[in-house]
Amino acid sequence: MSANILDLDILNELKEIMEDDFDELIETFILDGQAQLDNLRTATDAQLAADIRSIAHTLKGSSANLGANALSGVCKDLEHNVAVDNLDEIDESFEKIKNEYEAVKMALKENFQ
Amino acid sequence: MKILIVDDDATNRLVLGAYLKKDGFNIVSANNGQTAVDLFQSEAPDLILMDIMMPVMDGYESTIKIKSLSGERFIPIIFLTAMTDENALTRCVEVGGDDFLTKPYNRTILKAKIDALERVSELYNTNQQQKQEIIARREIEIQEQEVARRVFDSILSPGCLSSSDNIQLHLSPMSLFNGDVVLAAVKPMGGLNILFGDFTGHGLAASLGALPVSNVFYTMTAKGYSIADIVSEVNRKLKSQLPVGMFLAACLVEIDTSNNVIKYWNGAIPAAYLMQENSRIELKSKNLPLGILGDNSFSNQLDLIEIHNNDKIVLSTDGILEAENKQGAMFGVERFLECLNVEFIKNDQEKEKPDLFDHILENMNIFVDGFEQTDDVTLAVINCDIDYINQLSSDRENSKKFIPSHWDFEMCFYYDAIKSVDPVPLINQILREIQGHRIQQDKLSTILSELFCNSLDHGLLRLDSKTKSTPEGFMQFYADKELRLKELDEGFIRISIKNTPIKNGGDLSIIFEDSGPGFDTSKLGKTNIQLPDTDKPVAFSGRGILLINNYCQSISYNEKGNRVECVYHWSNSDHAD
Repeated sequence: MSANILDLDILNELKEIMEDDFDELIETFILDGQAQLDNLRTATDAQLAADIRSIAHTLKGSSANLGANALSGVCKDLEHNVAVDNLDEIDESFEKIKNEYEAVKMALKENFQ
Repeated sequence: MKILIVDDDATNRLVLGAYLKKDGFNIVSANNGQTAVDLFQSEAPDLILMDIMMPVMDGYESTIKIKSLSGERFIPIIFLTAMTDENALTRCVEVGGDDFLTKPYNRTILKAKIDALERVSELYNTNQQQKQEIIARREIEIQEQEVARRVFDSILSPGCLSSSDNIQLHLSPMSLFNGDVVLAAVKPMGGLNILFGDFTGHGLAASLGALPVSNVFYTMTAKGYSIADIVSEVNRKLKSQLPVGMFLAACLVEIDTSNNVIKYWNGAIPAAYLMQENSRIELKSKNLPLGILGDNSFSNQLDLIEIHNNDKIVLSTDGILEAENKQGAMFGVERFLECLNVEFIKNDQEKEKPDLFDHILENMNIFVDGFEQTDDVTLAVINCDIDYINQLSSDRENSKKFIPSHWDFEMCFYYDAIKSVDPVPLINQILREIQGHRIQQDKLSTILSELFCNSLDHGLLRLDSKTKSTPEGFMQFYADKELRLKELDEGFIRISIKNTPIKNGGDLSIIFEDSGPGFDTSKLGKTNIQLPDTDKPVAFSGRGILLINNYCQSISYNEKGNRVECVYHWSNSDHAD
C-alpha cells in the first residue's frame, strides 16, 4: 500500500488513543464518505458549484484527519477549481475522488477490520 | 473543563473528541452553528472548537451569537480551518475568534492552544471578577458617602446660610464632598458672622476638617463671641486636630449692624472684596491659613471698615481665580476684578445693572467653556442689607417667647480664673438663657465689658487710665496690663446680677465688686460723671464710664470705690429704651 493512500502512523495513534471507539471512527468515515460521494455525484450532474465546493471541502478535512492524504489532495484540487470557476474537469475529478475513496476504504478494511 | 466541538463532519468530531477526552476534557458536540448556540446556553462550555463551513448556521454567525451571549465571561473560540485564505482568517478574528487550528489536527498543538487559552481565560475571568468586586465596593462607598454627606450637611447647616436672602452662594465640589466650607450665623445681639474657607485639597479628606470648624463657629457665635475669639479657637482646634500639611485658608467677616461696620480677619483667601457704591476695598489677607500657627504667634487682630446699606462682600476661593480653560489659561485676578466693575454701573443707564454674583459666574463659565475643573469652585456674595440682617436676628428671637421674671445670681472670679476666663460672654449666655436675646442688645454687652475692664484694670491691676490719653501711653497701658495680669497672684472680681421684672422688660441691677483698694469716689458725682482731663483733644480714657452712664438708668459707687452698681432697663418690645 502506498503511504500516500493511508498514513498508518496517524491511524495507529488514533487507534491507541480511541481504543474501542476506533472501530466506530472507521465505520463512520466509510459510511459518511460514501454519502458524501453520492451527494457529490448529484451535485456534479446538476453542476451545483456551491454544493460541489462544500462537499469537497468537508471530505478534504475528514480524510486529512485520518491520514488519507491522496484523497484529501484530490478533494483540495476540486475545491480549488470550483472556487476559481473552472468546472471543465469536474467529471474527471469526481472519478479521481471515487477511486481514491475506494482505495482508502480497501486499505482501512485490510488494516483495521 | 468542558469543551464544545462544533463540526458538521462526524469523522472530525470523533477525532477531535478522542484527542480531547484523552487529555481529560469533557466533550459536548454540535453538528451546526445553531445547535452550538443552543448547547452553549444549556451546557455552558469553557471553550469552543468551531468549524466554519456548516449547514443551518455557519461558524461566523454562531461565533457572533455566542460572544454576545457570553456577557462578562470570556469563552475562547478556536476556529477549525483548512483555509489559508487571508480574508477568511480576517473574518474569523472580526467575529471574535481567539485562535485557529488547521486540519489535519495535531494533538500536541491542539493541547498547547487549549492550555494557552485556558490561562488567558482564567486571567480574564479573575480580572472580570475583581472588576465586579471593585464596582460593587464603589457602589457601597458612594452609598456610604451619601449617608455621610447627609449627616455632614445637617451638622454644617444650622446657620442661616440657606435661609438668608442676602447671601448668594455657589459651591461646585469636585466630588461628593467639598473642601470649601461656608458658614453663616446670626449673632444673638444682632449682626451676622460669616466664615468662608478653603481646605487644602478637596474631597472627603478635605471636608472632614469642616466639622470642628462649624462646631466652633456656630457654638461661639451663638454665645456671642466676637470673630476674633472664634478665629483663635478655630485655629487652635485645627492646629491640634489636622494632620501636618493640611490647613484652612479662611476669611471671617462680622457684619455689625448696630455700628455699621464690618470686622474681618483674612488668612490666605485670595479674593475678598467689599464693594461700595463707588469703590472696591480689598479685604486683604494679612495672615497665614488657619491650623498652622500656635497660639503664641497667631494674631486674631481684626480690621474694621465702615459700611453703608447694601454694600456687598464678595468672597471667592482660588478655584475661581485658577479656573482653567482648554488652552490651559487661568481665569485670573484681572478678569475677576473686571467682573466686579459691573457693580459700578449706574442703574439709570439704559441697560439694567446685572447681578454681581450671576455676572461673575457667567463670565467664569464662558471662560472655561465646559472644561473640567480640578479644584472646588466657591463664590459667595453677601449683601450688607442692614434692615434685613436685623430682621434675621429678630426672627430668631421671636421663635421663643421669654417672659420677664424674678431672678438673681452671683459669680466670683479669683485671680487665676481671671487669667483664663472672660466672664462677659459667659454672663451674656446666662442672661440669654433666662430672658432671651432681647435682653442683651449690644448695649448690655458693652456695659458688662466696660465694668469688667474697670474692675480688672483699675481694681485688680491698678493701672492708671490717665496713661491712655496719648497714643504712646495707650500702647504702654496694654503692655503693662498684659504683664501685670500675668503676675497677678491674689484678688477677685465678684459679679452680682439681679432682675426686677416690669411690664415688657425689667430693671437689671449689675454689681461689680473687686478686691482692689478702690478710688476716690468723691471726684465723681453720683450720676453725673466728670472725666479727668476732658479738655485734652485726644481722650482715650474714660470712654467706658461715659458709655455706661449714657446707657444706664443709674450708676453708683460705694465709698471705698471698689464696688459699682448700675441699673439697666431692658425691654422686650421692638423699641427698647
